[in-house]
Amino acid sequence: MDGIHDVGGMDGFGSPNAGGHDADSDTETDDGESEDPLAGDAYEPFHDRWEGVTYSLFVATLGNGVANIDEFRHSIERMDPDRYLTARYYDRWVTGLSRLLLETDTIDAEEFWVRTAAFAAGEGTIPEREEPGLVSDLAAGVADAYGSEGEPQEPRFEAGEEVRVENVHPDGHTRCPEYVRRARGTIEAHRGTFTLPDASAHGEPAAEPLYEVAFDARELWGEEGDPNTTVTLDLWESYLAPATVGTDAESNRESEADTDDGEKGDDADNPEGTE
Amino acid sequence: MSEGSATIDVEDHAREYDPEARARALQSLLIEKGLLSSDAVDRIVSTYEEDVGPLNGARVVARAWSDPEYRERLLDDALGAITELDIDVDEDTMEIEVIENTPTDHHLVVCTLCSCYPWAVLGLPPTWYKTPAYRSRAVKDPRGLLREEFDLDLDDDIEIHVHDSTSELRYMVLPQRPPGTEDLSEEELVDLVTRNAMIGVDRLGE
Repeated sequence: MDGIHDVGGMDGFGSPNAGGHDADSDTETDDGESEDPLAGDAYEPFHDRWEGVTYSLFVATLGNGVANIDEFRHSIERMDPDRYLTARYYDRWVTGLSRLLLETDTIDAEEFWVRTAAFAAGEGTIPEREEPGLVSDLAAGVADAYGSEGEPQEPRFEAGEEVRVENVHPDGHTRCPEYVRRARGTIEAHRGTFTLPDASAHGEPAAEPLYEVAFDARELWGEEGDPNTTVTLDLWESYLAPATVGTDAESNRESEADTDDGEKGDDADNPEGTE
Repeated sequence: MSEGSATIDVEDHAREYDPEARARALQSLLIEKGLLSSDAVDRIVSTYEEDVGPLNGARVVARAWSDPEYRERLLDDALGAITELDIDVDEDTMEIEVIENTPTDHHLVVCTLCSCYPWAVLGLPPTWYKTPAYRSRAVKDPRGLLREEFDLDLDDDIEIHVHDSTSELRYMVLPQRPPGTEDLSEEELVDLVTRNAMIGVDRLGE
């Protein structure tokens, strides 16, 4: 989806060190997230206990097979854009996990609402229940919930080949950022065959060859691009089409209207014929 | 939106209650349902606070600086080389590639779509890494970002390679060994390695 999470290349977010949008004025004071900017190299994974608890909720949700990593990422992408930009990082996680646990009927909506109200009023209690073997079971479950290497497939592209990223705008989850779509890049390496997030996020197991693809900054950002910078991404095969040799992306787009270039035909630019 | 409704709009719920109350409610529900336990929460939190962190990456870098053959193995098969140092990496959840800075090339790691990060070697990411401000600018204006936000002014003739972590493959930067450190032991070198250098927003070579 063309969501608010897909921020690559956007302007106007200010300084990553300002805290600002990620600070939470409603709860704690300024011992919050604005305190670990570049200056210090301190390692502080959780700023409050509830953030560590939230990480544990993530492990429990994936580890028990409630959702996989792609479904989790997509649950966050579906946040209201204003909240995505203003919520603290682990608030985004709580929001996404809440959505997954409700959608799968792992928890009951009424029960959740009542329970949250109790904790907000300072009246909630966390039950004590020890289960020493659970952590390793959860770790194994998390491993299953991550996109893993699939049965090897014959790659369509090889290192050194020029490709162009498809101009696709799926409603669902994708790991093809907007800023590389329609851009021309070079295959740096074939990584193997990996779970396709676009399918996995919607409960469909599928795998495809994955490639490291390099883009010249000028190709992505025009004259604003740095002349001595490349940006590389790992992109799945269905995101890519062969680039027509000898033309740049722009003249390529013009030509495809009236010519049928090469053996791949219009399949190269419009694989499903649906857009 | 009232109590007792059969469904919840997650966003309405989140606007009404702070994240701590929502997280605690989920924690209590999942423990009751047998999906989580009190000791599991403690173990998971302490793992990230005490066991994994940038020190693991610093040990890898110091070894690579001290042992040319190890460096070769690290650049060729990062996961294998990392586990040589008894660092616990779950190969099912993470692939790692180590990329090497040189006098002419500088590498920078980002995840524009979320917050992917090589946590097995660096722990959980710092807050700035997860901000839209870093994620948006790292791919469009890395040179300006490094200069203005991280006090790292790279010469124009140093090529910048930005790695946007869009798959389950994770990137860690092998910084250059600082000059004048020839006499230091591997243990002493560990102390010179910063987390930021292994992300690529710091450069130790000069």
